[in-house]
Amino acid sequence: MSELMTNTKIDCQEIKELLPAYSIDALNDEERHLVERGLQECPEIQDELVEFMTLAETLLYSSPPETPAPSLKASILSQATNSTPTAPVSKEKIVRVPPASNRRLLWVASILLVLLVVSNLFWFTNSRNTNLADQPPDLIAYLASGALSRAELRQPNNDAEDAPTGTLAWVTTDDDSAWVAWLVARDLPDDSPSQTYEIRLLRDYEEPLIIGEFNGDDGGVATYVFEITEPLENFAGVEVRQQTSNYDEQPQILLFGEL
Amino acid sequence: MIETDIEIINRLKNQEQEALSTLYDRYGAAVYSLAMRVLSKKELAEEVVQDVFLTIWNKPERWQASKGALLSWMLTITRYRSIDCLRREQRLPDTASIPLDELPHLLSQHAKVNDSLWENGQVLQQLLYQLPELQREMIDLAFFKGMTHDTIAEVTDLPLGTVKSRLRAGLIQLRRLWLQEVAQLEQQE
Repeated sequence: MSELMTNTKIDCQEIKELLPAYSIDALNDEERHLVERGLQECPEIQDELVEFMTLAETLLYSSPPETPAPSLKASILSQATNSTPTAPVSKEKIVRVPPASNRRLLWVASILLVLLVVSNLFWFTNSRNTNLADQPPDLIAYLASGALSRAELRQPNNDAEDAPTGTLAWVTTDDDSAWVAWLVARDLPDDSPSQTYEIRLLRDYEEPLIIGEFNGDDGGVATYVFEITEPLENFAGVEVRQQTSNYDEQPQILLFGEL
Repeated sequence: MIETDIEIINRLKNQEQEALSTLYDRYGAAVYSLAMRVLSKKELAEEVVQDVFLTIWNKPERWQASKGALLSWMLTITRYRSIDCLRREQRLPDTASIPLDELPHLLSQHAKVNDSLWENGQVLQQLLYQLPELQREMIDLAFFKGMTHDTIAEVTDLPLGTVKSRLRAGLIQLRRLWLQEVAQLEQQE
């Protein structure tokens, strides 16, 4: 762990100097975490952040005007006609797993069930939301009922057969107060047992929500379970990053999937 | 009566294609302009614009009026998608190909977006040209090409400390110019 990430006292002046770059996403993950921690401890710099964020928003509008080709509008409208999402969108947009009638779905469901058993000790002891933790049989019932949503993840710009892939699946309680999600990542790089990965949920408006870190196993498979009190479908996507020990290096995006 | 953004989004939630057409007429040029600014390539910019509008068509409920203007949200998505596209294409940022010095005179030649934030952005664009070129380049690489300090240092072969200080100085100077401009405008009003 780098010095920046330790619990040393925050230097508000140092945080203040990072604000301009923070406002336009030019910091690396480590520096960004430092600023976010610093903002809680240095309230006096928050006004300055607002000014820089306003500047960043205005920069979005600062492109020289360009006129798109007239055919672009027709193409968009035509594609919209062909993609007819079910409305209202929020719940119906979730990819529901139909009754397990094919082998692939059964395989995924089996992995998730095994994963659930393996991880439940950790989960039950760490869960702050007790709705599900107190009623483990309900989870099995949810899975059995097929009320399972999922997203497929793949590595951007890598169509190779042995490219990493993943599945994020989640279930919710009856009252929609909590969501439990499982990530299964496959074909991770060979050095995965010593490799740290970070899972984050991407938002349209805000910085990604960093969920946690995990390692793979010798077979290049990694699993991660988490519980969240916000609907997964509120997020734009999920991303798994391969952390690097060299902080000058950008973490590689290993997996991405839209939610 | 001009339809509000909220009304358009509500119609999109009901899958009214006419609303998508209205939305495109209103903001298509702004979205395309930003995509072009990042990608500098018509085909890629069109791909991003399609992606942005189809995302809104499929998920209009993702916009929350309480969190800001609809166009700000659309441009934020556009920026991220454009930067993703840039990275996918693995095109090295060709700073020389970005016609920075040619931008101001193009202002009046192209599509106009009827939006006060857009007008502010066009003023800001001119203020960018009051910055030293080296600072402007840092802002361009960071904001429009999605690069962090570390990546900029790698691409430009400059020391990391130099990149950090130039970018910081550029943004502070730009903020100062911007606040002066806002104060002047307020005085005129």
